[in-house]
Amino acid sequence: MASWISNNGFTAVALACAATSALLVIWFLVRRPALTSATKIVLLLAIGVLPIATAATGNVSGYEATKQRSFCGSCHVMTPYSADSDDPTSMTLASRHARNGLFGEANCYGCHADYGMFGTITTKLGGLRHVYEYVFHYHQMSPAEALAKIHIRTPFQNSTCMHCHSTDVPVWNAVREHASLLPRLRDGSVSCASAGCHGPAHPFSKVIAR
Amino acid sequence: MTALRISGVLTLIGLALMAWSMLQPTWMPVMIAMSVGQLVGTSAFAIFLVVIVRDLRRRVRAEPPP
Repeated sequence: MASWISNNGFTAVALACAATSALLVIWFLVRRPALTSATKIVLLLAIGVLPIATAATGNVSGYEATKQRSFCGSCHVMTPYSADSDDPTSMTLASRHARNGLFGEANCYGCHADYGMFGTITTKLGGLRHVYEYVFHYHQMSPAEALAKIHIRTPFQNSTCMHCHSTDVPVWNAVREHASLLPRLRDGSVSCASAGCHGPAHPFSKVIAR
Repeated sequence: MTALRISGVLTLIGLALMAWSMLQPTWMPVMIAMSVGQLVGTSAFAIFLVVIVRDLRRRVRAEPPP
């Protein structure tokens, strides 16, 4: 935990603001000073400025935390997926990306996030739907039960892969299968993550009609 | 002063929820901090502002006209 906090400057700032604010509020509650101008300024800091700073930096810290694989795995039904990514011997697409330094601990978010101008917003809205589904449908299920039922909501978009793996570079086109399937990969009728190509993405991946 | 003390207690609750989400960044603390925690903190600040504005008005009224 200490290393996570030191690696995340926003978290450290938020915790420092929260601690300072809490100390000032406790001083006010215990000492019960008269409501002078000086007390009002102290309370403005303790109840206004510092908590707002805590919330602002804490929000950034929270949004960053939601990109971590440990966050995705904090819903128990997702633990088989995060455990596969953690497995250094696994050859699934997800695990191989987790071992790539560019993805690392954020490999779930890296592949499942939407891209584009409003990508972050649509991804976070999708995350809220995940919370709803988890709380109302999957919370009581065992991971084994949930594995049979959980499926990706819409087919995985090849454009997500192409965000990093450009189809315009010669190295990519030098692969015979890539070149022959280029139109179908671009229109999404063939998936990069299909079993015969680079998939399955997870050991429990299911075929979804495209 | 009672309202200010309530505001102080609410601030402590809001801060505790926000700090919990940072120390244990899993789905439940993060969701609670970003909803309930911030609602509680905002309520505390609103109570503080109401008390301070009322106090200022009372002082202005109490001052004798020049």
